[in-house]
Amino acid sequence: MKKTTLLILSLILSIVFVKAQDEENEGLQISGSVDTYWKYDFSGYKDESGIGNIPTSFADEQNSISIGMIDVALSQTVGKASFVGEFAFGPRSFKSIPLFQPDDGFDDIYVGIQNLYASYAFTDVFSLTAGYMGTFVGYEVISPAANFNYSTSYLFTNGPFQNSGIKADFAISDRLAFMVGLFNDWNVYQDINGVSDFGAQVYFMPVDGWDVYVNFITGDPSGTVIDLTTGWQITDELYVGLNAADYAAKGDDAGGYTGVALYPQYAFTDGFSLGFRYENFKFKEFTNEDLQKISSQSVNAFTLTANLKAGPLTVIPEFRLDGASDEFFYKNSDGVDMTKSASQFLVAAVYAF
Amino acid sequence: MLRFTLFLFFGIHLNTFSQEIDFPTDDTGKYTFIEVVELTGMKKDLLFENGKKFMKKIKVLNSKTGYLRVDNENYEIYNRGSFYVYRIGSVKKGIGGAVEYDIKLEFKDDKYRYTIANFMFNEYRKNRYGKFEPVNGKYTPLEKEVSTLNKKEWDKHRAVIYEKTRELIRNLYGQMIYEEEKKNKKVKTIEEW
Repeated sequence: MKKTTLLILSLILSIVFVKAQDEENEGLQISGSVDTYWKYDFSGYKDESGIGNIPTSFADEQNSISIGMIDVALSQTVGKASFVGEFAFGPRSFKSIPLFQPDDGFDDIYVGIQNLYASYAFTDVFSLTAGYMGTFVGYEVISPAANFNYSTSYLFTNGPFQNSGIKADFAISDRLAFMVGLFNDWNVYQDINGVSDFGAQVYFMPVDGWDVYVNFITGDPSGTVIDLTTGWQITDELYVGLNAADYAAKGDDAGGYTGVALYPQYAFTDGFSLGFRYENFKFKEFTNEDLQKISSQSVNAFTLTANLKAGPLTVIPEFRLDGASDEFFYKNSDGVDMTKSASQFLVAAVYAF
Repeated sequence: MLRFTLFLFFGIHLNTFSQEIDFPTDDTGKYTFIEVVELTGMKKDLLFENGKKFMKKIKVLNSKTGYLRVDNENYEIYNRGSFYVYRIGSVKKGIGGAVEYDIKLEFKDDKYRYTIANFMFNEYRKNRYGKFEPVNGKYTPLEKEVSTLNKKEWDKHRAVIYEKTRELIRNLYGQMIYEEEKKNKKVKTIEEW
């Protein structure tokens, strides 16, 4: 009886439980986020569109319960092939993607694609990816679920958002990887002047928990960006991120920007974290259309952000103070007097699924 | 053996949907699955070979680092693996993280001992390309209590890990006895039948 039991059992086990542990997920995955916010600019200023003072991306509507976007990503990996299709609707998405411009006389169309690419891993080390992808340059991203701060940095706003192209990734080990690729101009679904940008990335991990990315992209007319993006989980509670970049624009107007942003964050509990962002950003001198030289302008931005997490929901209260080298902001709601500083408070809710 | 058989058949679905899981713990309170499994008549060399085959399949997901160590002298094998856990309420599985664990196998004639411990949750976040990836360097012991607001998801992760560990133990057992059956199974020639 014992032997029979053992035999039946062994057959069942050998047929049903052949795997040793989790396989890589091969089902179709659906993930995404929704976000909403209220922001108050202390100057009371808003333009005709209801946009407040601080000119960085998103979270810009003054004293309004406003929406960010609904973002849905579909992805699947089957064997060595994978794809991601991510679409989003809402102001945050529309302000971060190009319009599709049909050539048959119809109006431009919001397509809402954030990521659309396919990948094939030829080996454990080498994979090839082609399509429309979130940029590899910079620290902050479009999805609010992947940022600690809800408002964005000047470096993010002025850098690329997406890079369409074809890229080869070489993951040498967990500690070292390279990427090289050919890309369209920044933030376009279609490159009218042809694939003209070259991009590269080096990733290394000096110690466990410390990611370092050195990014480079250059092309005509896009210009050249050299970017350092790094983040170090120093302890379970303490994390420090850093982004530094230099952009040299092409063409007669030239110019560009340079900047650095520091992101210390501390998790007091699993549900409450506090983070600070300090950014120094400078627009380089450039020549405008009237051939006038416009001197460089710089801004220091200080942002204090809390993250209160309840499962998939994160509530983000945030205070921000920006100080510029020149009178860059409106002093009050009349939109006439200028001043060197602006401040705002916002509360956002981000639900990630 | 009968007791183990009963464990296999009736233990499979116990606590599957329960949120409060009573993990076995060691003296220090760390979650630890440890058991001596008797397989009368099986030599330690064979068990050791079977164990190696099983342990080669264990890996930390999304990692190129290999942790497999084989101690031929002492008939012991070590490795590190991980299980995915998924976000609560997802329409279709969205990866919330991976729980890594250490596994150690020891062998003697007629028996082996497994120890599965050191469960550490590594959070996954969606990256700029729309894919989930591990947050480098952020590990939380599965024993750690979390705030009330996040307890539901954490307890669900624990329940999943409990079940997956039980499944891992069953798979390990299946590997051990499967090889023995296979070895004893003689291929009969046409003439013999």
